[in-house]
Amino acid sequence: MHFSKLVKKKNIVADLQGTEREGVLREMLARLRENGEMSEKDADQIFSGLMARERLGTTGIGRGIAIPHVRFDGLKDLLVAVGRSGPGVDYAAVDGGKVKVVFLVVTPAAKQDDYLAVLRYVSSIARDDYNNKLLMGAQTAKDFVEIFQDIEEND
Amino acid sequence: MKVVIVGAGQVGFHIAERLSREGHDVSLIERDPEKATLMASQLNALVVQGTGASAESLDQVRIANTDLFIAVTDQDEVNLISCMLAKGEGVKRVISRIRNVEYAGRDWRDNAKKLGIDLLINPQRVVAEEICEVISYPAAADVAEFANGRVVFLGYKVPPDNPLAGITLRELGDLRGMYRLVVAALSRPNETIVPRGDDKIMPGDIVYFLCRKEDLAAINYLFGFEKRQTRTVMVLGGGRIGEAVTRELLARRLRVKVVERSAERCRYLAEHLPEVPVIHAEGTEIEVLKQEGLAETDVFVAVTDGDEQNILCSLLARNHGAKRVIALVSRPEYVSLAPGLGVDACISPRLATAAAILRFVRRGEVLSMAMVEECEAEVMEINLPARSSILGEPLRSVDMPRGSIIGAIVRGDEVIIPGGNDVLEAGDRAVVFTLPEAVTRVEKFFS
Repeated sequence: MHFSKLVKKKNIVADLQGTEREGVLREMLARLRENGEMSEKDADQIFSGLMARERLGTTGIGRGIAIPHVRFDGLKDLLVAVGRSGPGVDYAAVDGGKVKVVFLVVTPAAKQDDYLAVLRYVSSIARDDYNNKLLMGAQTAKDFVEIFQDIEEND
Repeated sequence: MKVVIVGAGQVGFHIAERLSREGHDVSLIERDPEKATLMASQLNALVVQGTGASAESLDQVRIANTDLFIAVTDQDEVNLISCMLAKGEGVKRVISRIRNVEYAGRDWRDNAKKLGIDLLINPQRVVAEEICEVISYPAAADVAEFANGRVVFLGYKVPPDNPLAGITLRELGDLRGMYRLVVAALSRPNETIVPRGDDKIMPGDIVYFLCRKEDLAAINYLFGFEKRQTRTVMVLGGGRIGEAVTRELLARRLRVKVVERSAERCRYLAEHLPEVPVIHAEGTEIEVLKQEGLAETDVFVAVTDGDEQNILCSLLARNHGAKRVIALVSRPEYVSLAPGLGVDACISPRLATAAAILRFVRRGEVLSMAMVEECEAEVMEINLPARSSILGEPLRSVDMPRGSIIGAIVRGDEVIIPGGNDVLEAGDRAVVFTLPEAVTRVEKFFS
């Protein structure tokens, strides 16, 4: 899994302003739109899809991590964005804690295999004690890029 | 436990085989001499040729010391009389199968009580309930609920384009933070396995798993199993089972149409179920069925009295657009064959009846039980013993019998879908999946 190549540095929002789930998802989608990854209409649809998924059960998996994800056929390729909040986000996480790092994953249906692979990868690094600590300590987009590269090299 | 079974038909044979394999002392009474001889050679059981409704046969099986008496001949009256005789001889629990709805109508519980019968079992009713259960979980091949409905056991067929196809159990385990489920078994044409870390889910497998009911929507979302809602059902065969299924479905607020070949039966249905459209046709008259909306039907259920007819007509219906097809299949040989042909779920009256009887037999130590049609595996909800070496140990070091797995732990109000680090505590209940060959060892293990 070349996760570090999948996450473009410009799609990492290291200073999320929002304090709750909806706000930060909109914020991250706004960044993706500015970066030309999707149209405004796509972003709206993706937002609805993400929230529909959250209603089935939170993707705040605990230990400061959330992995909102959705299938969306309007994109050609799988897209991953990362968001970070210093004070933490109210995300209704399973452990009741605040979420500091958000991995947003959008997949076209044709890329099913990659989809599960990315979700697996992110949820396993997030649950690993050492990697979780690294992620919680990251401050800038550059920090995240280095962490992802490190994890891959040590894999 | 000493068990006496009257009638060596499909159900009688199945239960006799099952219970004797589990080490119970089983006797079988069968009227037909040829069948009795055959049974004697196939079963590890005392086989007596005679009728259950005679004192002589009952003497021969030493009825007085019997714990459980099961009458499953094809004659209701014989079943009822032998049960009454057995009860009179002091048998602790007696079970009778009743086909005729007049005996097994709404007030059947009262009737049973009056006759001293502990369980009256009506195959049509059992089958109708099972079919409706499967229908109420879109896309599932098998379903059962445990822990008062808080835990669900489901079997889904994995299509080639499903994200589950080709991944190992270990890989699936990486998702546990977000999607908590325990895969209990993978069923393939010639084998069913309780998979371990390196085992791979293959396209075409039926994957059986346990999860919390509240997590099911998210799990279905990820694996794309549940994309549609069931609204309309077409029932082929308006006999007793068809009628029972239709009534159950109406109670669940589904729109039902019944297709029936006999004009007389059509009139009966129209009179007794005025809100249901009844179509006078054969299951093979595809043009008629198409006019009646076959292509828009969510579920097509074939419950005529012919297995071949049910399998063929459901495949035909599927070819003409029915989204999901379910067939009633009696012959044991066909039950494992049908999924490979493209029938989404098979319901067998034999297995459904046997399962209902076994559920009753296991009452006490086992709180709830379900049987899996395709592989005859069981899922049981078990109270853990107060003292046991398995308590307090992380599950990864608990040596479960081969062919079994703990899928859920119920601790007071909490339901845990366990991983290797979870620990069993005194007072817990466990939902355990077990292949048929492991049932006895599982029961010993938890006693």
